[in-house]
Amino acid sequence: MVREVAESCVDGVVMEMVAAYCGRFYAVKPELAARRIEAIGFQVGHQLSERYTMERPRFSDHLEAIKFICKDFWSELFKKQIDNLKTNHRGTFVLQDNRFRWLTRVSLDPSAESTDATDNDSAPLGDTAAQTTSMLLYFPCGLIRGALTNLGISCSVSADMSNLPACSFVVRIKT
Amino acid sequence: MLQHQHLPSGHLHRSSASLLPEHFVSASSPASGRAGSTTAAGPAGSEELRKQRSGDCARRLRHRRRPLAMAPLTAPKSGDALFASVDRVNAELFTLTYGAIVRQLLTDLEEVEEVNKQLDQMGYNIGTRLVDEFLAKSNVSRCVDFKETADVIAKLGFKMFLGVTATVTNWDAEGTSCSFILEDNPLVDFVELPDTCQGLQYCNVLSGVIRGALEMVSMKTEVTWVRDMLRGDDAYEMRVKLIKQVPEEYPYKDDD
Repeated sequence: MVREVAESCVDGVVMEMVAAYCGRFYAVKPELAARRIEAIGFQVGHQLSERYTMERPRFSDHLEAIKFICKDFWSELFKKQIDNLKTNHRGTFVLQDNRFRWLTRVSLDPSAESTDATDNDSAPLGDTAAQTTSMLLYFPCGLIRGALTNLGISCSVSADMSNLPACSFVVRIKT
Repeated sequence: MLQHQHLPSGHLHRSSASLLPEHFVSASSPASGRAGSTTAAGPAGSEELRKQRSGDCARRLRHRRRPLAMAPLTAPKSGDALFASVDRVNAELFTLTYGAIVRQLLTDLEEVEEVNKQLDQMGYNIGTRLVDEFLAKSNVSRCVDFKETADVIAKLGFKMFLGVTATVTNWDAEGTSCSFILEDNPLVDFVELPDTCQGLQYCNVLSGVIRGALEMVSMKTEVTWVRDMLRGDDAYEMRVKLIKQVPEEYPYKDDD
Protein backbone atom coordinates (compact mmCIF):
# COMPACT_ATOMS: atom_id res chain seq x y z
CA MET A 1 0.00 0.00 0.00
CA VAL A 2 1.18 3.50 -0.79
CA ARG A 3 2.10 5.45 2.28
CA GLU A 4 0.14 8.64 2.82
CA VAL A 5 0.25 11.71 5.01
CA ALA A 6 -2.30 14.48 5.50
CA GLU A 7 -2.36 17.02 2.72
CA SER A 8 -1.93 19.78 5.30
CA CYS A 9 1.61 18.53 5.91
CA VAL A 10 2.67 19.20 2.34
CA ASP A 11 0.72 22.46 2.26
CA GLY A 12 2.37 23.49 5.49
CA VAL A 13 5.98 22.85 4.50
CA VAL A 14 5.58 24.35 1.04
CA MET A 15 3.93 27.47 2.39
CA GLU A 16 6.47 27.89 5.13
CA MET A 17 9.34 27.34 2.75
CA VAL A 18 7.99 30.04 0.45
CA ALA A 19 7.38 32.34 3.42
CA ALA A 20 10.88 31.74 4.74
CA TYR A 21 12.56 32.46 1.41
CA CYS A 22 10.44 35.48 0.56
CA GLY A 23 10.18 36.90 4.03
CA ARG A 24 13.26 36.02 6.01
CA PHE A 25 16.12 35.23 3.63
CA TYR A 26 15.62 37.21 0.46
CA ALA A 27 13.00 39.75 1.42
CA VAL A 28 14.57 42.43 -0.74
CA LYS A 29 15.53 40.17 -3.63
CA PRO A 30 12.40 38.33 -4.73
CA GLU A 31 14.10 37.08 -7.89
CA LEU A 32 16.69 35.23 -5.81
CA ALA A 33 13.98 33.77 -3.58
CA ALA A 34 12.14 32.64 -6.70
CA ARG A 35 15.24 30.87 -7.99
CA ARG A 36 15.68 28.98 -4.72
CA ILE A 37 12.03 27.96 -4.55
CA GLU A 38 12.21 26.77 -8.13
CA ALA A 39 15.39 24.83 -7.33
CA ILE A 40 13.64 23.00 -4.49
CA GLY A 41 10.78 22.09 -6.82
CA PHE A 42 13.27 20.97 -9.44
CA GLN A 43 14.95 18.62 -7.00
CA VAL A 44 11.63 17.08 -5.96
CA GLY A 45 10.38 16.73 -9.53
CA HIS A 46 13.63 15.14 -10.59
CA GLN A 47 13.45 12.52 -7.86
CA LEU A 48 9.74 11.84 -8.25
CA SER A 49 9.88 11.29 -12.00
CA GLU A 50 12.77 8.90 -11.48
CA ARG A 51 10.57 6.88 -9.15
CA TYR A 52 7.44 7.03 -11.24
CA THR A 53 9.12 5.97 -14.48
CA MET A 54 11.05 3.05 -13.05
CA GLU A 55 9.01 0.40 -14.79
CA ARG A 56 8.24 2.16 -18.03
CA PRO A 57 9.80 1.92 -21.43
CA ARG A 58 11.66 4.98 -22.68
CA PHE A 59 9.45 7.73 -24.09
CA SER A 60 9.64 7.89 -27.86
CA ASP A 61 9.21 11.66 -28.21
CA HIS A 62 8.55 14.88 -26.35
CA LEU A 63 4.79 14.57 -26.61
CA GLU A 64 4.86 11.17 -24.92
CA ALA A 65 6.88 12.60 -22.03
CA ILE A 66 4.54 15.57 -21.69
CA LYS A 67 1.57 13.23 -21.69
CA PHE A 68 3.19 11.29 -18.89
CA ILE A 69 3.43 14.53 -16.89
CA CYS A 70 -0.21 15.36 -17.61
CA LYS A 71 -1.56 11.95 -16.69
CA ASP A 72 0.54 9.79 -14.42
CA PHE A 73 2.72 12.36 -12.74
CA TRP A 74 -0.15 14.74 -12.06
CA SER A 75 -2.37 11.93 -10.78
CA GLU A 76 0.29 10.81 -8.34
CA LEU A 77 0.61 14.31 -6.95
CA PHE A 78 -2.88 15.70 -7.16
CA LYS A 79 -5.17 12.69 -7.71
CA LYS A 80 -6.36 14.19 -10.98
CA GLN A 81 -5.01 14.73 -14.47
CA ILE A 82 -4.20 17.93 -16.29
CA ASP A 83 -7.47 19.08 -17.82
CA ASN A 84 -6.25 20.54 -21.07
CA LEU A 85 -3.08 20.20 -23.11
CA LYS A 86 -2.29 22.51 -26.01
CA THR A 87 0.77 22.67 -28.20
CA ASN A 88 2.01 24.68 -31.16
CA HIS A 89 3.98 21.64 -32.38
CA ARG A 90 7.13 23.70 -32.16
CA GLY A 91 8.18 22.86 -28.67
CA THR A 92 5.71 24.86 -26.60
CA PHE A 93 3.10 23.09 -24.51
CA VAL A 94 0.41 24.59 -22.32
CA LEU A 95 -0.82 22.39 -19.50
CA GLN A 96 -3.97 23.64 -17.87
CA ASP A 97 -5.35 22.45 -14.57
CA ASN A 98 -8.83 23.87 -14.07
CA ARG A 99 -8.68 23.47 -10.36
CA PHE A 100 -5.10 23.44 -9.26
CA ARG A 101 -5.03 21.85 -5.84
CA TRP A 102 -2.47 24.17 -4.31
CA LEU A 103 -4.38 27.26 -5.36
CA THR A 104 -7.91 26.21 -4.46
CA ARG A 105 -7.57 27.83 -1.08
CA VAL A 106 -5.83 30.95 -2.24
CA SER A 107 -8.23 33.76 -2.79
CA LEU A 108 -7.54 36.83 -4.87
CA ASP A 109 -11.21 37.65 -5.19
CA PRO A 110 -11.65 41.36 -4.50
CA SER A 111 -14.91 40.87 -2.61
CA ALA A 112 -13.27 38.38 -0.29
CA GLU A 113 -10.50 40.82 0.31
CA SER A 114 -12.76 43.61 1.41
CA THR A 115 -14.47 41.36 3.95
CA ASP A 116 -11.16 40.21 5.29
CA ALA A 117 -9.75 43.69 5.48
CA THR A 118 -11.64 44.28 8.68
CA ASP A 119 -9.63 41.57 10.40
CA ASN A 120 -6.19 42.78 9.56
CA ASP A 121 -4.37 46.01 9.21
CA SER A 122 -2.44 45.97 5.94
CA ALA A 123 -4.28 47.99 3.34
CA PRO A 124 -2.84 47.16 -0.11
CA LEU A 125 -3.53 43.49 0.31
CA GLY A 126 -4.33 42.57 -3.25
CA ASP A 127 -0.84 43.25 -4.38
CA THR A 128 0.96 41.20 -1.74
CA ALA A 129 -1.52 38.37 -2.10
CA ALA A 130 -0.84 38.21 -5.83
CA GLN A 131 2.88 38.30 -5.20
CA THR A 132 2.73 35.53 -2.64
CA THR A 133 0.67 33.41 -4.97
CA SER A 134 3.12 33.83 -7.80
CA MET A 135 5.89 32.86 -5.40
CA LEU A 136 3.93 29.74 -4.48
CA LEU A 137 3.84 28.80 -8.15
CA TYR A 138 7.60 28.66 -8.60
CA PHE A 139 7.50 25.40 -6.71
CA PRO A 140 5.23 23.47 -9.12
CA CYS A 141 7.05 25.05 -12.08
CA GLY A 142 10.24 23.60 -10.68
CA LEU A 143 8.52 20.25 -10.17
CA ILE A 144 7.57 20.03 -13.85
CA ARG A 145 10.95 21.20 -15.07
CA GLY A 146 12.74 18.75 -12.79
CA ALA A 147 10.56 15.88 -13.94
CA LEU A 148 11.08 16.68 -17.63
CA THR A 149 14.79 17.24 -17.21
CA ASN A 150 15.07 13.83 -15.65
CA LEU A 151 13.41 12.44 -18.77
CA GLY A 152 16.07 14.08 -20.88
CA ILE A 153 14.13 17.14 -21.95
CA SER A 154 15.61 20.47 -21.02
CA CYS A 155 13.00 23.18 -20.94
CA SER A 156 11.76 26.25 -19.15
CA VAL A 157 8.44 26.34 -17.32
CA SER A 158 6.34 29.32 -16.37
CA ALA A 159 2.90 29.60 -14.82
CA ASP A 160 -0.12 31.70 -15.56
CA MET A 161 -2.75 32.16 -12.89
CA SER A 162 -4.90 34.84 -14.43
CA ASN A 163 -8.10 32.95 -13.70
CA LEU A 164 -7.89 31.23 -10.34
CA PRO A 165 -8.16 28.49 -9.28
CA ALA A 166 -7.34 27.43 -12.82
CA CYS A 167 -3.67 27.50 -13.57
CA SER A 168 -1.69 27.01 -16.78
CA PHE A 169 1.88 25.87 -16.98
CA VAL A 170 3.74 26.80 -20.13
CA VAL A 171 6.55 24.43 -21.05
CA ARG A 172 9.04 25.63 -23.62
CA ILE A 173 11.40 22.93 -24.78
CA LYS A 174 14.92 24.06 -25.55
CA THR A 175 16.25 22.87 -28.84
CA MET B 1 -6.68 35.30 17.04
CA LEU B 2 -4.52 32.31 16.37
CA GLN B 3 -3.49 32.54 12.80
CA HIS B 4 -3.30 36.27 12.39
CA GLN B 5 -0.27 37.23 14.31
CA HIS B 6 2.21 34.84 12.76
CA LEU B 7 1.46 35.04 9.11
CA PRO B 8 2.55 37.40 6.43
CA SER B 9 -0.49 39.20 5.21
CA GLY B 10 -0.62 37.37 1.92
CA HIS B 11 -1.41 34.15 3.66
CA LEU B 12 -4.32 35.37 5.62
CA HIS B 13 -6.77 34.56 2.94
CA ARG B 14 -5.52 31.17 2.49
CA SER B 15 -5.71 30.18 6.07
CA SER B 16 -8.96 31.85 6.89
CA ALA B 17 -10.53 30.57 3.72
CA SER B 18 -9.27 27.09 4.19
CA LEU B 19 -9.98 26.67 7.82
CA LEU B 20 -13.56 27.63 8.02
CA PRO B 21 -15.52 25.81 5.35
CA GLU B 22 -13.93 22.42 5.61
CA HIS B 23 -14.03 22.33 9.32
CA PHE B 24 -17.59 23.11 9.53
CA VAL B 25 -18.43 20.50 7.00
CA SER B 26 -16.68 17.84 8.96
CA ALA B 27 -17.46 19.14 12.38
CA SER B 28 -21.15 19.46 11.82
CA SER B 29 -21.49 15.95 10.45
CA PRO B 30 -19.27 13.74 12.56
CA ALA B 31 -21.17 10.62 11.60
CA SER B 32 -20.47 10.99 7.92
CA GLY B 33 -17.08 12.59 8.47
CA ARG B 34 -15.26 9.97 6.48
CA ALA B 35 -16.99 10.70 3.22
CA GLY B 36 -18.28 14.20 3.80
CA SER B 37 -15.19 16.09 4.72
CA THR B 38 -13.19 15.19 1.67
CA THR B 39 -15.60 17.00 -0.59
CA ALA B 40 -14.62 20.45 0.46
CA ALA B 41 -17.35 23.02 0.20
CA GLY B 42 -16.94 25.18 -2.86
CA PRO B 43 -17.08 28.94 -2.83
CA ALA B 44 -20.86 28.82 -3.00
CA GLY B 45 -21.12 26.51 -0.02
CA SER B 46 -18.80 28.46 2.18
CA GLU B 47 -21.05 31.49 2.33
CA GLU B 48 -23.92 29.34 3.47
CA LEU B 49 -21.76 27.62 6.03
CA ARG B 50 -20.59 30.87 7.42
CA LYS B 51 -24.18 31.84 8.05
CA GLN B 52 -24.90 28.54 9.69
CA ARG B 53 -21.91 28.91 11.86
CA SER B 54 -23.27 31.89 13.68
CA GLY B 55 -26.67 30.24 13.92
CA ASP B 56 -27.74 27.04 15.53
CA CYS B 57 -24.96 25.00 14.01
CA ALA B 58 -22.62 25.94 16.79
CA ARG B 59 -25.07 24.88 19.44
CA ARG B 60 -25.72 21.53 17.84
CA LEU B 61 -22.01 20.96 17.60
CA ARG B 62 -21.55 21.42 21.30
CA HIS B 63 -24.20 18.93 22.23
CA ARG B 64 -22.70 16.32 20.04
CA ARG B 65 -19.30 16.94 21.36
CA ARG B 66 -20.14 16.05 24.92
CA PRO B 67 -20.81 12.34 24.59
CA LEU B 68 -17.76 11.99 22.38
CA ALA B 69 -15.61 13.56 25.02
CA MET B 70 -16.61 10.80 27.42
CA ALA B 71 -15.16 8.14 25.17
CA PRO B 72 -11.66 7.06 26.16
CA LEU B 73 -9.12 8.96 24.11
CA THR B 74 -6.98 5.96 23.54
CA ALA B 75 -9.71 4.05 21.73
CA PRO B 76 -7.73 2.64 18.83
CA LYS B 77 -10.25 3.45 16.17
CA SER B 78 -10.54 7.15 16.67
CA GLY B 79 -7.04 7.92 15.41
CA ASP B 80 -7.53 5.77 12.34
CA ALA B 81 -10.92 7.29 11.66
CA LEU B 82 -9.43 10.74 12.00
CA PHE B 83 -6.65 9.98 9.54
CA ALA B 84 -9.18 8.45 7.17
CA SER B 85 -11.29 11.60 7.31
CA VAL B 86 -8.65 14.10 6.17
CA ASP B 87 -7.41 14.72 2.64
CA ARG B 88 -4.25 12.76 2.11
CA VAL B 89 -1.41 12.76 -0.36
CA ASN B 90 1.34 10.43 -1.35
CA ALA B 91 3.92 10.53 1.45
CA GLU B 92 6.79 10.56 -1.06
CA LEU B 93 5.86 14.06 -2.12
CA PHE B 94 6.00 15.22 1.49
CA THR B 95 9.22 13.44 2.34
CA LEU B 96 11.07 14.51 -0.78
CA THR B 97 9.82 18.07 -0.54
CA TYR B 98 11.00 18.38 3.02
CA GLY B 99 14.31 16.79 2.08
CA ALA B 100 14.81 19.21 -0.79
CA ILE B 101 14.04 22.14 1.50
CA VAL B 102 16.61 21.00 4.04
CA ARG B 103 19.18 20.56 1.29
CA GLN B 104 18.54 23.98 -0.11
CA LEU B 105 18.69 25.56 3.34
CA LEU B 106 22.03 23.88 3.98
CA THR B 107 23.37 25.35 0.74
CA ASP B 108 21.99 28.83 1.35
CA LEU B 109 22.55 29.28 5.06
CA GLU B 110 25.84 27.40 5.34
CA GLU B 111 25.70 27.18 9.14
CA VAL B 112 24.09 23.95 10.33
CA GLU B 113 22.96 25.67 13.52
CA GLU B 114 21.13 28.29 11.52
CA VAL B 115 19.39 25.58 9.49
CA ASN B 116 18.25 23.92 12.72
CA LYS B 117 16.84 27.23 13.87
CA GLN B 118 14.99 27.86 10.63
CA LEU B 119 13.52 24.37 10.55
CA ASP B 120 12.26 24.86 14.07
CA GLN B 121 10.77 28.22 13.13
CA MET B 122 9.04 26.73 10.10
CA GLY B 123 7.67 23.98 12.31
CA TYR B 124 6.42 26.49 14.84
CA ASN B 125 4.53 28.42 12.18
CA ILE B 126 3.05 25.24 10.76
CA GLY B 127 2.06 24.09 14.24
CA THR B 128 0.15 27.27 14.98
CA ARG B 129 -2.06 26.48 12.00
CA LEU B 130 -2.29 22.71 12.32
CA VAL B 131 -3.66 22.99 15.84
CA ASP B 132 -6.71 24.78 14.48
CA GLU B 133 -7.30 22.09 11.95
CA PHE B 134 -6.79 19.44 14.58
CA LEU B 135 -9.23 20.94 17.05
CA ALA B 136 -11.83 21.51 14.39
CA LYS B 137 -11.69 18.00 12.98
CA SER B 138 -10.92 15.80 15.94
CA ASN B 139 -13.81 16.71 18.25
CA VAL B 140 -11.63 16.40 21.31
CA SER B 141 -12.67 18.45 24.28
CA ARG B 142 -10.50 20.34 26.73
CA CYS B 143 -7.77 18.21 28.24
CA VAL B 144 -7.73 18.11 32.03
CA ASP B 145 -3.97 18.05 32.42
CA PHE B 146 -0.71 17.93 30.52
CA LYS B 147 -0.73 14.15 30.61
CA GLU B 148 -3.95 14.02 28.70
CA THR B 149 -2.65 16.62 26.26
CA ALA B 150 0.40 14.48 25.58
CA ASP B 151 -1.77 11.44 24.98
CA VAL B 152 -4.00 13.29 22.58
CA ILE B 153 -1.00 14.51 20.60
CA ALA B 154 0.59 11.08 20.48
CA LYS B 155 -2.49 9.09 19.58
CA LEU B 156 -4.51 11.56 17.56
CA GLY B 157 -2.29 14.45 16.53
CA PHE B 158 0.52 12.44 15.01
CA LYS B 159 -1.97 10.03 13.52
CA MET B 160 -4.11 12.67 11.89
CA PHE B 161 -1.23 14.36 10.09
CA LEU B 162 1.50 11.78 9.62
CA GLY B 163 -0.49 8.58 9.80
CA VAL B 164 1.65 7.19 12.61
CA THR B 165 1.26 7.19 16.38
CA ALA B 166 3.82 8.04 19.01
CA THR B 167 4.34 6.54 22.45
CA VAL B 168 4.41 8.77 25.51
CA THR B 169 6.83 7.70 28.25
CA ASN B 170 9.47 8.85 30.70
CA TRP B 171 7.26 11.16 32.72
CA ASP B 172 9.01 13.13 35.41
CA ALA B 173 7.61 13.21 38.95
CA GLU B 174 5.79 16.53 38.49
CA GLY B 175 4.06 15.40 35.33
CA THR B 176 5.40 18.35 33.36
CA SER B 177 7.84 16.70 31.00
CA CYS B 178 7.68 13.55 28.96
CA SER B 179 9.04 11.91 25.85
CA PHE B 180 7.34 11.15 22.58
CA ILE B 181 8.83 8.13 20.93
CA LEU B 182 8.39 7.61 17.23
CA GLU B 183 9.40 4.31 15.78
CA ASP B 184 8.08 5.04 12.35
CA ASN B 185 8.70 8.50 10.98
CA PRO B 186 7.60 9.32 7.44
CA LEU B 187 9.74 12.44 7.45
CA VAL B 188 12.96 10.46 7.15
CA ASP B 189 12.20 7.87 4.48
CA PHE B 190 15.12 7.95 1.99
CA VAL B 191 17.22 10.14 4.31
CA GLU B 192 20.82 9.60 5.25
CA LEU B 193 22.96 12.25 6.89
CA PRO B 194 26.37 12.80 5.33
CA ASP B 195 29.34 13.31 7.63
CA THR B 196 29.36 17.00 6.92
CA CYS B 197 25.96 17.59 8.57
CA GLN B 198 26.33 15.69 11.79
CA GLY B 199 25.04 18.64 13.78
CA LEU B 200 21.85 18.80 11.77
CA GLN B 201 18.60 18.22 13.64
CA TYR B 202 16.78 16.94 10.60
CA CYS B 203 13.43 16.49 12.34
CA ASN B 204 13.40 19.91 13.98
CA VAL B 205 10.29 20.78 12.04
CA LEU B 206 8.36 18.21 14.10
CA SER B 207 9.47 19.60 17.44
CA GLY B 208 8.64 23.06 16.15
CA VAL B 209 5.14 21.93 15.23
CA ILE B 210 4.54 20.57 18.72
CA ARG B 211 5.84 23.75 20.32
CA GLY B 212 3.77 25.99 18.05
CA ALA B 213 0.61 23.96 18.45
CA LEU B 214 0.86 23.84 22.23
CA GLU B 215 1.56 27.52 22.47
CA MET B 216 -1.71 28.20 20.69
CA VAL B 217 -3.55 26.29 23.40
CA SER B 218 -1.73 28.34 26.04
CA MET B 219 1.06 25.96 26.95
CA LYS B 220 4.60 27.23 26.68
CA THR B 221 6.88 24.30 26.09
CA GLU B 222 10.46 23.47 25.31
CA VAL B 223 10.97 20.63 22.86
CA THR B 224 14.29 18.94 22.25
CA TRP B 225 15.47 15.80 20.49
CA VAL B 226 16.98 13.13 22.70
CA ARG B 227 17.35 10.28 20.26
CA ASP B 228 17.56 10.39 16.51
CA MET B 229 17.75 7.36 14.25
CA LEU B 230 19.62 9.39 11.64
CA ARG B 231 22.42 9.63 14.17
CA GLY B 232 22.39 5.95 14.90
CA ASP B 233 19.92 5.75 17.81
CA ASP B 234 17.25 3.08 17.92
CA ALA B 235 14.22 5.41 17.81
CA TYR B 236 13.18 9.03 17.59
CA GLU B 237 12.68 10.53 21.02
CA MET B 238 11.44 14.04 21.53
CA ARG B 239 11.46 15.53 24.99
CA VAL B 240 8.62 17.94 25.73
CA LYS B 241 8.84 20.10 28.83
CA LEU B 242 5.96 22.27 29.98
CA ILE B 243 7.38 25.62 31.01
CA LYS B 244 4.22 27.38 31.99
CA GLN B 245 0.55 27.39 31.35
CA VAL B 246 -0.74 30.79 30.34
CA PRO B 247 -4.19 31.26 31.84
CA GLU B 248 -6.83 31.83 29.24
CA GLU B 249 -9.04 34.87 29.07
CA TYR B 250 -12.66 34.25 28.41
CA PRO B 251 -14.45 36.44 26.00
CA TYR B 252 -15.99 33.20 24.69
CA LYS B 253 -19.49 34.63 24.86
CA ASP B 254 -21.22 32.25 22.48
CA ASP B 255 -20.00 29.25 24.42
CA ASP B 256 -22.25 29.92 27.38
